[in-house]
Amino acid sequence: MFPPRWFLPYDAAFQLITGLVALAVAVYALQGYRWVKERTLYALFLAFTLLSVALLVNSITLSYTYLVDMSFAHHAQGMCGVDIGFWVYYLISALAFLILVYAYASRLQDASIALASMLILGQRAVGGSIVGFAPYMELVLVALLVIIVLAQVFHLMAKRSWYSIGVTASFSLVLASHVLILFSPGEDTIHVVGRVFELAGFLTLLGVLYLLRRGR
Amino acid sequence: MKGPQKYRSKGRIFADILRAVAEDGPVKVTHVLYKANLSHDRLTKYLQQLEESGLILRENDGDRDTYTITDKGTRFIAEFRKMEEFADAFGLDI
Repeated sequence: MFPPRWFLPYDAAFQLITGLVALAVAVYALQGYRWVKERTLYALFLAFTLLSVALLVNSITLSYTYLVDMSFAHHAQGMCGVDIGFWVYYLISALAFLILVYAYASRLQDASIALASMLILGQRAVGGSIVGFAPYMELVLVALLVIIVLAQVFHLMAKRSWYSIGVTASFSLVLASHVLILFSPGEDTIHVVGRVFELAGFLTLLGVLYLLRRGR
Repeated sequence: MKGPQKYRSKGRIFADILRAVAEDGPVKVTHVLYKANLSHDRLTKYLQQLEESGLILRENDGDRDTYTITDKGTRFIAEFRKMEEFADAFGLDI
């Protein structure tokens, strides 16, 4: 679940970059909201602002962990600042994805998809061995991202555009990254690949935002 | 048989009215009524809001009012189009 020590500075930098990309999306949504006062845009602004805060908190936490030369073995010895940092990251991220899920579920046709995927995932989690070793919050993020990706895929099936293909690819990469991180304990390479996927996902989102701004 | 009408948000109604006004120059209420597909009462309310927001300009042409779009109104249409694409990229409607 935690990155290898040599990867900590890179991990912190990756989280900083992804946090700034999320902030850029939030600012774009806010600019639009100021003009058209649509609830959907406010939901996107809120979700990406929270995501940006979560990622920046994680970046600070990882930097601190590296700078004070702390080992992740401390986790057996109770709560400390680093734990709080990680919990803040998980809770705010979950809230951000929950807002996105709510925005998707507000559309009637996607509400059933969201509910069905949540139930299927819930059954798998309870029945499988994954719960035994994976932190609960990481599993929550994966569940929320599955719903978001499913909603995106169903939207793509009905209406295809390069922008929505880009956003679907972006969320799929973020989902893949969280799944990999879920399975990463004891496997440093998987964790590193997971973080690279996450960065690639957010850079894809930045590309979509750039094209949207240019109006192409 | 006519199917169920899709819900239109306030922003979309504003954009529809502004497009009708922008496309056909100074227009009368009846013209916007036809293009924006609204009841007279609702349209009157929205036209008043658009005028107060500086998105359209009302002028008295003899016995009837005519409406023209302002620069701010044109900007609103452009911003709305961009935000439509932005929300659509996320599989959402505005």
